[in-house]
Parts: sequence; structure tokens; C-alpha cells
Amino acid sequence: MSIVRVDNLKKYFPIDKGIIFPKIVGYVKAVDDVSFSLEKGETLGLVGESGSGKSTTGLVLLRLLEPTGGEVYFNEKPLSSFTEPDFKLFRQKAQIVFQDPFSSLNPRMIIKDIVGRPLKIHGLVKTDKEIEEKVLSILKEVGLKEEHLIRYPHEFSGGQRQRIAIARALISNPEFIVLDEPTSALDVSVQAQILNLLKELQMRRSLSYLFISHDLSVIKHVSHRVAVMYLGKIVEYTEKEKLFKNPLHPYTQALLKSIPKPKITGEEIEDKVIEGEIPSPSNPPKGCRFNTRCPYAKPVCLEKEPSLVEVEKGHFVACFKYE
Amino acid sequence: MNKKKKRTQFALIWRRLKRNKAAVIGFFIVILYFTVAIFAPYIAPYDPYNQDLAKSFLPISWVHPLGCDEFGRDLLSRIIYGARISLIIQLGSIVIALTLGVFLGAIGGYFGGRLDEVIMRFMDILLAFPGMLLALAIISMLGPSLKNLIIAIGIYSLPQFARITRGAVIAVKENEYIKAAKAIGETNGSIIWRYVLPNALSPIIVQTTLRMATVLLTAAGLGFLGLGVQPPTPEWGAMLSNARMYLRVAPGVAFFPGLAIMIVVLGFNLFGDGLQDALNPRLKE
Amino acid sequence: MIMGEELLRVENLTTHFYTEEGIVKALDGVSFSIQKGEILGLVGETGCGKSVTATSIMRLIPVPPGKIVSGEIWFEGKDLLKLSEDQMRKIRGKDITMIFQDPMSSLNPVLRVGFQVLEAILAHFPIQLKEGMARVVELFKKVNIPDAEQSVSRYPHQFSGGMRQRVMIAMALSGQPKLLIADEPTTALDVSIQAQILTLIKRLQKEYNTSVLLISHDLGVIATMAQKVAVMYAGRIVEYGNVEQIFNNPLHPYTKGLLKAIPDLDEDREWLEVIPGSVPNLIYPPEGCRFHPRCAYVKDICKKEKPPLIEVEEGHKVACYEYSKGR
Repeated sequence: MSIVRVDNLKKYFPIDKGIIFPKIVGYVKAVDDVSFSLEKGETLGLVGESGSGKSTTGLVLLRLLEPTGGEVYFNEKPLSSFTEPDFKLFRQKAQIVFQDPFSSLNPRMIIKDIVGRPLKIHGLVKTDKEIEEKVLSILKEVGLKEEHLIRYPHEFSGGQRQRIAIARALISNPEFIVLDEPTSALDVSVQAQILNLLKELQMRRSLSYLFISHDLSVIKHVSHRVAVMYLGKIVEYTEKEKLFKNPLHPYTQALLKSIPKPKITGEEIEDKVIEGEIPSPSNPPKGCRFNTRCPYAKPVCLEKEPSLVEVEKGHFVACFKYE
Repeated sequence: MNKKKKRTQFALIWRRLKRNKAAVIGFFIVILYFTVAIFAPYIAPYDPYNQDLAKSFLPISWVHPLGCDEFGRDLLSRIIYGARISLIIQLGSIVIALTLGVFLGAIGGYFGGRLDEVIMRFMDILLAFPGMLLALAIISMLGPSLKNLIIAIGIYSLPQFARITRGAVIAVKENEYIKAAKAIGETNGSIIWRYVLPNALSPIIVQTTLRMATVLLTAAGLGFLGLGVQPPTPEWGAMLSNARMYLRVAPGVAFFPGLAIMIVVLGFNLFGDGLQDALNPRLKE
Repeated sequence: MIMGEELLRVENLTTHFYTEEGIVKALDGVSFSIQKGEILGLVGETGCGKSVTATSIMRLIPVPPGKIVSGEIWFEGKDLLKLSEDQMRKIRGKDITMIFQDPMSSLNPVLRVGFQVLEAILAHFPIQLKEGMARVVELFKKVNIPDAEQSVSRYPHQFSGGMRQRVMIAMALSGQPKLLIADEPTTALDVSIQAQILTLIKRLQKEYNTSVLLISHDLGVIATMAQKVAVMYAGRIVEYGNVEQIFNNPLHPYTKGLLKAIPDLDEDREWLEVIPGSVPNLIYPPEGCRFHPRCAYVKDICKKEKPPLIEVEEGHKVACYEYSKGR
């Protein structure tokens, strides 16, 4: 049984023009027919660049944004059938950690309150003393100390703030956490600490993660399965090993090639170039969205959109090279 | 790990404020004003209502430091009690304007859409009245009295608070900690109260301080027109108005209330401006 | 590529910032040099002082709260720190230019891009308007901005991040600079665009024989682009060498730690090796070696005296008592 399943998810943002009586002139199809599933205790890596829709997917999954179409299943139950109490429980069991540690914590609340709010909201403990104890134990679990309880966010570094954000996400005992670029704003050495922490927490608490990132080396390190997104669509979806050993989609291949590695490889920067710009999600190319930059583009790629096809066991690609 | 921050946020604001000499002067004027108003019965040498026609227009003397008015009442005592009246008017009307204005501005800014449109259009109507005309109109309808004066000036000040709050709320709303609050299951009301408003405070505080000056002037203006507090209650604007007739005979009767108004208004303005600057290199957040 | 001649030599540069909370000792005795036509990569994490180094060289440190306390910056036989503002202005934008991480904040949003580049050209070359415009179009073509003749009349917001960065590069190269300082030029760009911009910088660098001070926290970018590398930590250079030396034989414990902390695309590691602790507050930096509180090899002397930068193999220097004999 999957813990989270997404079927044909769509999120379109209307574009309106006009000052007095604005009219809708088009849509930004940020997420356009995305499907995947996540097993318990597993990490699904969602990788893509700007305009790919990866962050929007995470937000819609948690219902922080309303979907335009499609369905999200949590423990096989569709979110569209959730009642108010179901949603309240969902907010305990499904959590999120945001990218920017500098804006995801309320500057006017002390750490004890920031991390302790979920306990109060869901009535998980009764007395103030119990709240303080629970907050303290979670803070210790993420590597912080008792003296941090009464401090304000601005007194902490980026890495520490992310720990606080993680503590806040953990305190309601969730089963599933969306991690939206949790280390992208952090230095390399701090990133390593946080990634290790997340792994440890996953093992100890059997957490399931949707790990969103643009950094393929981080995705490789943390994921069991990976979905590659481009302009609102999933172009490749498979287990981590298969994706990195045998990338099939031209975008995945180009992406892997374009990353400069922190070692002497003999590769020149010129060899890493993918030509072309990323098209705007409000005006995607007709047919396969990667056709403007694909070295293998055929006439059919300009006309029709490829669908995800299982090319080898458990390895799905949306590309006319394989269809 | 950063060395323990030895200064809290307040201490930093205070230090910045201290450097601004004008703001410090303003601050002391405001403190003086509050002290005089609160402790009026203990400071004033005479009863401000006590008439003694024999003392009419007595000049400055040791016995009456600012002289007496046309009814022989001690001018200094009347000015001291006038401070009390002015403060009551200010506090009363600001409380009305603050609570209603911040509430409407916050829900308009946070929820947006139709609600926001309706609230803002209503504020636009209030703002369409030039100058004091709105306060004037309200008080003409209700009749001049202290209570009505407070209501009129309260409503007159309402739109500024609503606008400032709305602007601050819209800016704060975009922050990620608001999304995070939703993600842990906070209700909208809780979000506005715990997350949005505390972060929107700076402009509201500044507005409150500056508004104290405007309210004082408006009250004095209405008092001058005879539409405010009624005699014999000592109110600086009304005192000014009455003194017009006696300018040749006893200019002091007009000069001192006018001076009081000027100093207090200046004090609030200097302090409010300084506060704005001090709150505004944004503290490292 | 014409090499071997020294273009820029920074000696003992020390820059402080005087803030409400105390004096931030942002740079402490930084020394390095760049040869003509060379790409020097300056790498380090947040707060290490790499950007402050760049703005110190450009003399763009806001005074107050900043102050270049001591040091010399030798450029073409002159000490930049001793020049007047007027003399510095002639150099800035022409002989030494800079591009930044976020092109949107360096470009004026209400002026057309062509005009902004034109301004830069006319400020340094006594030529006519018409010739200036022609040069702008040429520059746009050189940096591969499509539709150059039309693009010059567009506004910054009409371009994507990568295109804006190309405009910045065009502006920076308009004076045919001897030194280009690129401060995190691709950090704000998507990975697939990053290679394009870096290739462009490399191509133009070769064409004009410009030296580049490439500042980045991304070790991959440094490894692929730089010929020499200086690793900075807490306001000091801790290791310096050519790129092969630094990546194949890192000496300083911090450099080693940094390389081990990056997840590897080629190998799988269960846990990443972590450098314990965090970057120090530069108002109260540690005594002696600034890295000592986090170092696995710390000795007594590390806590007391600042380790000097010494040469361990040819061209490879490190500031660490692990390598100085008998101190």
C-alpha cells in the first residue's frame, strides 16, 4: 500500500490582463498531468529546474494549494473525500519543510512556541509543561539544545533554522514529509549535516519523504526512486540506480552531463552545454515540451506529447525515441 | 554557534532612537505631556473652574505664573487640565480608530477578494472628505460633547489605520512562515493574530504616534470652532478661540494655549519620525 | 593563452566592518596573485570573505561601516588602495570589471539594456554615439544574445536570468578589461543554463586574454573552470594551488572536509562526512588558526598562533601546522 499516490495531478494558474475588469487570458500550466506513488519508508526524489513544477507539486499534494484536476491519495484515501476532521488529522500526519530557512519561521515567536504550536493546535498534550518537555525532546533529536527554547529565529544560523523547521515538522508525529529544497540555501558543509540528519530521522521513524531538489547529486544521495520533471510534466520515473546508470530521456541525459563535478575529470565546460532556453510555463512548446532543446527531436515530437511508457521493468520514460 | 546576542531587539531600537537628538526631544515632550495630564490634580495650583472676576486678565505674576483668563481663572491650571482633556480625546479616538481600523485592514488584506474591495471602497469614502470636514460633519450630526468628539475623531482617523494595516498585512502574507502555519493546521484567525499582526506592527506603531499629533490638532480645531468640548471645560482649542476677542488686552490668554498645542504636536511628530527611522533599518530577521 | 606575467597581487589585505554589535574582522591578511590570462577560483562558504575580497579590490566597500584596514593591492604597477577615487573610477568598469550573482539587481529595470551597456562604453571611450551603439550590438552578438539588433532596445525584465547575465557580461567586457571579477555568476541560474554562461566566460576570457577572479561556493564550477584555486575560510586563505593539486591532493583539513561533504554523483555513500561545528562569528573569531575549533588534527599551537601560508609542493601552499615542521 502506498502512503502517497498522485494521479493525473494538474495545477493551472490563471493569467489575467486588465486593470478594472481583469479577464483570464491563459493559464500557467505549472503541473500538467503528473502521476507517481511513494511507498512507506521510502524517499521519492522530484528533480527539475525552474518552471518544472516540482515545488508546486509538493504544495498541491499537501493541499496548501488547491489542485485544478487529478487526485491525491493519502494511505489510499482520496483527499477530495476528506472531511474537516480528516484534514485536521492529515495536517498532523503530512508535513513540509521549506527551502528558505530565513523566511519559514515566524520572526516574532520564540522557538518553543514555533515548534510547540502543532501540539496545541491538535491537542496532542494537555499542560504547558508537557509541551515544553515534548519540544525539548524533539529539539534534542534534531541536534539543538535547551537554551535555544527561548530564543528568536534571527539568533540562529541557516542550518540551525532548518533544524528548527524540521523539529516543527516532526512534533506532530507525521508519516510523510515534503522536503522542498531543504538544503539548497545552505552551505555545503551544513547541507551534509542536514542530509545526514534527515536520513537518520527517516530510519528511526520510518518516515516517507518527497524530496524536491534541482541538485542531482543530492537527489542521488537521498532517493530510492526519482521522478524528473520538465515544464510541468514527468519525463522520466524510475529507481535511483537505473536513472543514474542508464538515463533514457534526453533531458535527463543532458542534465547529468551538464553538472560540473567537484573533481578533475578532464571534461571541458564546453562539452556540458545544453543549448536553448527553458521555455516559459505559460507558453510551452507544442508537442513534447523538450523539443526546442532536444538533439534527437523528430517531426512527431513537434506535434504530439509523449506519454510515460515502461521501457524496462520499473523504468518509465516519456519520449518518442522509445515509443 | 553565534555568541549569545547581548542585546534584545528593544535595546537595539532604543539605541538607534537615542542617537537621533530630535527624537529624544520629542520623546521627553511626550513624557512630560503624559505626566502633566495624568497628575493634573496634583500639579495644578488652582481649580481650573474657579472663577474670580476680580482677577480678570491678571498678568504674569508669582501667584499666577501665566496670568488669568477673562473669568479670573488661573491660566496655568487651565492649561494643565487642558492637557488631561486632550489626552482623553486622543486615547479615546485612537482606541476606536486602532481597533476598528486594524481589524478591517487585517481581514481585508489577508482575505483579499470581494471583502477587501468592499472595505477599501468604504475607506475611500471616508477619505474623500477633505481635511477635517468628516469630523466636522459627524460632530454636527451628533452634537458637540466630549463623547461625540471622541467618536467623530475616531471615525475620521479610521481609514489611515485600515490602509496602513492592510499594506503591512499584504506584505507579510507572502512570507513562507505563513504557508508553514497553514501546513501545521493553524486557522486563519490564529494566523492573523499570531503570525501576521505581530510582524505588521512597526508601521502601525509609527502611525499611532504620528496620529496622536493629528488628533490633537483636530480636536483643537473643532474646539476652536466651538464644536468640541463645551465651556467651561478647559480645552486648548476652545481656549484659543475664546481668547481671540482679547488679543489686544491680554495676548497671553491666546499665546499660552497655542504654545502648548504647538509643543505637544511637535513632540509627537519628532518622536514618531524618530521611531520610524529606528524601527526601520530592519533588525536582522 | 599568454601566461606567466603577474597582473594582480593582493598583499595582506585586511578589511573590517564596524557594526552595532562589534567589529567584524571580515578579511585578515589575505594574499594571492593572478597572472595575466589566468582564471583563479576563490572558493569558500558563506561568510568566508570571498565577496568582501572582490569588493575590496574594486574599492567598493561602503565606508562606513567598512574599512580596508591594511594591505596592498598591486595592479599594473600601482597600489589600488593608494589611488584617489577619480583614479579608481577610471580603472573600475574598464580595466577591472565585475559581474554579480543576481543580474536583476545590477541592471536598472527602467532603462533599456542597450542603453545601459552604451553608458558603460561611453564612460570609458571617447567615441561617438553611433559608434557606441554599433559596439553594443556587436557585444550582444558576441555574448550570443539572439536577435541582437532588437534585443538592445528591450528592458531587463523581458529577458530570462541567463540572458540577463549575458547582458552583464557584455557590459563587463565592453571595456576589454584586464581583470574580470565574477562573483557567483551562475549561482542564481538553472543548471542547464549554467554551462552556457560558464562556456561564454571561458571563450571570451581566451579571446581577450582577460584574467578572471571566479568566486563561487560551488566546487564543481571551480573544478571545471579554474586553473588556480584559493580556498578561503573565515576571512583567510587556508590553501592555494593549481586546480589539480587542490582536488587530487587537498591538504588543509577544511578543504578535505569540504570535498568529503559533497554528495558524489559517481559513488554512493551512506553517510556524508561532516565537518563538526559551524562557521565562527567574525566579531569574535577564534584565536590562532580560525579553523581550530572544528579541526580533527588540532594541536596546542593551532589555538595560539595564526598558521602562515607555506609552500608544501611546488605552487601548492597551505596554512596549517600539520605541514610546518618543528614549529
